[in-house]
Amino acid sequence: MPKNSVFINAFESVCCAGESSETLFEAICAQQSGIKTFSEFIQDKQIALGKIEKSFSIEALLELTCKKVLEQSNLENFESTLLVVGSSVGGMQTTESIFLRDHHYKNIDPKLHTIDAIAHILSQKFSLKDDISFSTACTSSANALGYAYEMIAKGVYENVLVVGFDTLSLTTIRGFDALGVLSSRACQPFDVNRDGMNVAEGIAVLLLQNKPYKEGIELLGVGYSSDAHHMAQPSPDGAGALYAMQKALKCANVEPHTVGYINAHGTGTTANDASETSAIEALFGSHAYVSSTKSITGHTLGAAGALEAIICVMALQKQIIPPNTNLFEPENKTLNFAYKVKTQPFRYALSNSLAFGGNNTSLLFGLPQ
Amino acid sequence: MKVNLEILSSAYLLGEKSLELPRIKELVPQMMVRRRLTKAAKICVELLNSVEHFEGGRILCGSAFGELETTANILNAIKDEQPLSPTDFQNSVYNTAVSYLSILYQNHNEILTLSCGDKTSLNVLKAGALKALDGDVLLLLCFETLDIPNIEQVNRCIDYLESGVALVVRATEKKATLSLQKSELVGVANSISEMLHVAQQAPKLARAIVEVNL
Repeated sequence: MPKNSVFINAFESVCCAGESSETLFEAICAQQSGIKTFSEFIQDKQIALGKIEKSFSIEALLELTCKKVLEQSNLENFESTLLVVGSSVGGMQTTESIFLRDHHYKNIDPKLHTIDAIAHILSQKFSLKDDISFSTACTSSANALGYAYEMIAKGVYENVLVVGFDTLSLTTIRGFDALGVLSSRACQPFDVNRDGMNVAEGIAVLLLQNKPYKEGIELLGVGYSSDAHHMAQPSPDGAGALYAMQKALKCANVEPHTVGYINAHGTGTTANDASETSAIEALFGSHAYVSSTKSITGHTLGAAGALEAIICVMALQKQIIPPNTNLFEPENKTLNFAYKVKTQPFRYALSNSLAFGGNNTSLLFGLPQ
Repeated sequence: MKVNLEILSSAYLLGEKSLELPRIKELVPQMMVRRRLTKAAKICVELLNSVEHFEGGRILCGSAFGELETTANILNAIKDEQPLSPTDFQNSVYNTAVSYLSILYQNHNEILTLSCGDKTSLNVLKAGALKALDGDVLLLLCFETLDIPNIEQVNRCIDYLESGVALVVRATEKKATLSLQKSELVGVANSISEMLHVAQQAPKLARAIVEVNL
């Protein structure tokens, strides 16, 4: 089957480290973390989180972010556009606030609780042609991007809007605390002194099209795999992540040694770091620069795949390798970690997303041919 | 784009209350593993073992409400200021049920879960049709597990509180023999309705082929 090219032509994001993609990328390069400590979420415990400083609701912020993407694009509206959403907990924050106020389910609106609450909100604001929502924990929006890629590559749609969205909720904060993986400071992915991850909220919106526009970057391939190992622990040898990366490269017909930058999933937990570095080392050795940007943004869960896709796109546009902030003493001595920001010509960037259930997705981006 | 999907095998389960799954001990003999499975995971195990022609491969799964029991456990623990169960948390994500399938059957392939309200099973079919263009045989699943305490406070129209549907499909050039519509059965969750209709009608046809409009 002939394959259409897929371009990321417009994007915008909001997270704790920046109210726009431009300010986020500046923060990453300046190594200024958006992570702050909070004591109100867990009794008698300080934890570090990525909270968006906002003067209006997160739903209004989501609409505004989509509007900015529309303004950047060559479209007048989204009427011929498919919406693909990726979210881990959807409207859980709304559900929590109603249930904790009422102590019963009566006033919970299923339309605002479920994962597709985001599509519901956006469909009311923009006249989108159709929508679909994916929820695969922390790979949700990476999988949304993969689906959008396939929709355009196979000639079904010309324009697909991808939204990655997750807000802070007590469910995720206390859930990760129950797993014993929350850090009390900005996380240190891949460092021997790491002590866990930072839950964060984020919005990332990307417009994918079948033709390039302005400085559009190509989405060249996607690779999916399952660890088939454990619900909350990655396979120790990184076999699942390795398989996903191999499939993304094969999909794009790109050789590993030509990849210049890998934006790792890099949560800062011992299990993730060991598994992912094994996988990257097996496929890339020390060829590509590697960094996790979660010490700046936190782990935005279902939004992470889309947010980190934007970081890869901007890295390619600017030919800048984003640094791995808070990495001083790497556990893995082979990988070529980017400790400081680097300006360097490179053609391809890979982004990894790894999730509960052993769900793995890798996305390969490249400069247009 | 229109894609015709041939239904190679189908199965469904409907329960007005908690579904009895008498084969689950036989299908998952290890007690410690079985105890960790959510009800949705057990339904998916039962469905996988009820269909033919799927020897492992890509799986697409849909649910509007996901793992409602563990979600409710988490909400109640937060309300009561109790610590959360790590197992409830890891089992609360929407891909829990199919991830257990991947673990139990060592399936390393692509697994996607989607959640689209009333359109869930329609979108599973659409996503299945898109993926089937690669020439693969796929397993499509959908489920709802709403039999939790006090669900009547918020549920007003779903009689079958537990349900699941499985379809094994592949793309075909042959003409459609089955229309894509909602099930005529009253009281099933809208989120499984289109796939249930296909699963109910397919065994009546010599060759069941449904047209999916992407």
